[in-house]
Amino acid sequence: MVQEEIIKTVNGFLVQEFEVEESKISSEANLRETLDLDSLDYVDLVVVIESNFGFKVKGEDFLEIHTFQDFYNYCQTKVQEKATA
Amino acid sequence: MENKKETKWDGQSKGKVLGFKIFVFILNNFGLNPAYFILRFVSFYYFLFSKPNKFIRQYFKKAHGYSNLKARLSVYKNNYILGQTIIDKVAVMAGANNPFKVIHKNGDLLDEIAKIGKGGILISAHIGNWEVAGQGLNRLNTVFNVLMYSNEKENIKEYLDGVMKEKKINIIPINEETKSHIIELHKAFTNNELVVMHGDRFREGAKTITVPFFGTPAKFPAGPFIMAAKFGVPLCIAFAVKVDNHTYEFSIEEPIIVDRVRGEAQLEKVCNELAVKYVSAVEKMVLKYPHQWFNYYDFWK
Repeated sequence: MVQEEIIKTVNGFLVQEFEVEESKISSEANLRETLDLDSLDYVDLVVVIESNFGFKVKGEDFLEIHTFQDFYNYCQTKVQEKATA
Repeated sequence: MENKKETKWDGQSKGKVLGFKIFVFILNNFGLNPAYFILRFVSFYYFLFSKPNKFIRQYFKKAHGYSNLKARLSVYKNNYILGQTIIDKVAVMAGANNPFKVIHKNGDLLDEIAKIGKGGILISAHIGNWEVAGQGLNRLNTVFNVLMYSNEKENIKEYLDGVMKEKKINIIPINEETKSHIIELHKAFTNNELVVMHGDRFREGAKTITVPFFGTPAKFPAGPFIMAAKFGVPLCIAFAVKVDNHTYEFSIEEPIIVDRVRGEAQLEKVCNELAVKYVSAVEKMVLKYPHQWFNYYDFWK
């Protein structure tokens, strides 16, 4: 899955799940602040990641994700790992 | 739902490690009744000197309309029963020959939750003795996950972990940094497991829902209801109350089927509905067993 597809899929479910305007999403923007995520919002994130990409999230994965670009990169890496497994 | 920072429950469970170990010694060597006998004196000490008892007096007056005198006398009984439940927890978790009979009311409803296949949330309150209910839940071929704040007396947790290895109980520590507890919850529900939570206490900064409790607004943690709504898992209200020295009753209400909710407005609506049902169930149980309310802080603040 190329990154453009990843970005399209990610932005699509983020807009739907978190009711955020797509114009507010940019690669360098902070994920948590832009989406106004609190602890319980990670439930939605975990569920949509699994349902859209099919990989399981680990708790420590979120430690390295700060911007939307970090999130796109993370999803792409995981999707590729799943494909080659 | 509100996000204001509140100082309510201090996040620490009552009891000390040494106290647990002393009562384990008495239980193992002399049995339950001698432990209860010693407890009468310990309870009297707490009745006289424990400052949080003023909140229990307030509870008896507000929820039950007791007079000042009746409220004060009820505090001793409340302290004693709390002590009994703590001893009982230790007796059960340390694997003592089962001294308790557990009456099951609607226990088959748990099988109904299992058939749905999405796992579920068992929600209770600090009424009676939830841990003793585990005796009755052992018959189910599933793992019970307990969500616990990670700074609750670590020593006690380690001690209990040691005696709970053989039992089907998995502790999920809440880790706000990594969100690992969210992952563990998702895994549990995917595996059709049950997650056990209390719905009557929250930590400072947690999301809350305000619902009338005996006619006066009180804040309840929104977490369990949000999780049921966001994960789309059944919510089941359950209680385990002490009926007499050797008998508990584990009762369960009809599971509330919750479809996965999207959107803030719908989430708030569903969570409020769930919270109202939960609080109503808590009120009924507290009216029936008024001395088994174990929240020693200003509940209506």
